[in-house]
Amino acid sequence: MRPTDNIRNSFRKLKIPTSSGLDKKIHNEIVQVTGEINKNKPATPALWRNIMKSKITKIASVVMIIGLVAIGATLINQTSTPAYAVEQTIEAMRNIKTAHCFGTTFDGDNVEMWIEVNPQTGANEKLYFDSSMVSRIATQDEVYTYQKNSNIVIHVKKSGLISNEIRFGRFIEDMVASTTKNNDAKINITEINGEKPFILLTLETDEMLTESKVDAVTKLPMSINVKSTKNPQQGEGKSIDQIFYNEPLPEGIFDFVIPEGARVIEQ
Amino acid sequence: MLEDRLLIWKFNKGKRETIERIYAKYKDDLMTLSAALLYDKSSAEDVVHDVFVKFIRSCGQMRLNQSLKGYLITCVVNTARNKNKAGQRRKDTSLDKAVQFSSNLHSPDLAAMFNENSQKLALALTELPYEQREVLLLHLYSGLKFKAIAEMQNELISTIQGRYRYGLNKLRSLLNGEVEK
Repeated sequence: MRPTDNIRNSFRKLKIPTSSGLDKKIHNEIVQVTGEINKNKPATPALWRNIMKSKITKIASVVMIIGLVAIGATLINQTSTPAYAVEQTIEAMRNIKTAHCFGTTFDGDNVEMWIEVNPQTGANEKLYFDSSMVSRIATQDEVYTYQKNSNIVIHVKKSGLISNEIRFGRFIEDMVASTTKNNDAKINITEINGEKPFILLTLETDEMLTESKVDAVTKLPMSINVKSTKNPQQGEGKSIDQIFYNEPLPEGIFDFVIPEGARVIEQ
Repeated sequence: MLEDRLLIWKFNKGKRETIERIYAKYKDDLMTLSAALLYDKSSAEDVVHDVFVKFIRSCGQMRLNQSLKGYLITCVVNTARNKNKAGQRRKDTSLDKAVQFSSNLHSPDLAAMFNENSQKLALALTELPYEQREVLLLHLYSGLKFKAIAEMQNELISTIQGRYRYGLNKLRSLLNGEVEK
């Protein structure tokens, strides 16, 4: 082995652990700070309690729970009514006001999104999207897209562009509705048991497979994964891997600040 | 980076297990870096303590534009550098270099801090100027790229590369490539 490699390896072997005294001091600090934060946190009603108030779930929830336990894998084609669990998810999503998502693009880039949802229509009111290559902020009146590599901002001042995005609050509903229009589409519902049970919804067409894992308790999608069999687009969304619902929006998250030195193109 | 974003999001929510996890994940690496910069375990622990206390108290307001590891390393390096400068001002500058080296060689702190295999390297590092030692540790131990180190030290990349080259050459000559058994 070359002498330089020896030196490199020796650096990697340096190791000095912290003392138990320091660990204890830090632990106490953590306990104190998190205790103060959680004491001051306002109580928010659990989303599942809102869901249980809805008409559909009151009537059918007991039947559905029993039904889900009894059913293993169920294949439902477009001529039969989608399973009732799907209706619970559709109903649950009507209570969404915000979504905070972490996802992956087709070329492996990580993305973060904040979405403000109109509960009445399920449409996106405002969108914040950030990846290593692009940042985008869209509101009802305008869209800013920042291309990081070239330091260019594209500003489109036009109403309604955000409406072209997928309606996050109606994502599952729209996905199910599309099955009735597409003769080749199939929707599957599978209950997955385990430490954290969930329901797996899949929509399959000849071009695309969309999978959504649905939380068995809240009935809300925990993840959405799109597998395109034809022409997956670079930089476009492939999956939303984690979704957090109805969290308070960070202050100013939808206020676009033009980066220093960026060239702005008005379209 | 996705994991970092999730961690920071949960950190800002004040989730205790997340903060404990962040501390457990990075504490030993940061302690090693701090100790190798300062050669004083007590000072090194002070640095790690101060960095993490400040980090924990930023809970709820943290927004990162870099990796969490890079952020914590930057904090440790800056704090250690300040401590080193304060220590230099207090030290008797007339101390002969040979005497200084000799005192390091027999320093019980050095023996206590590093295991036998690392003591040669640790001792050789004491021979380097602080800036060269810092660059070598950040690149070879912490795995940072020269660009990140340059931003941290507010220097040109060529300056960092120069410090690295000189530092590595000096180490080579001190160690004769015999560090690893």
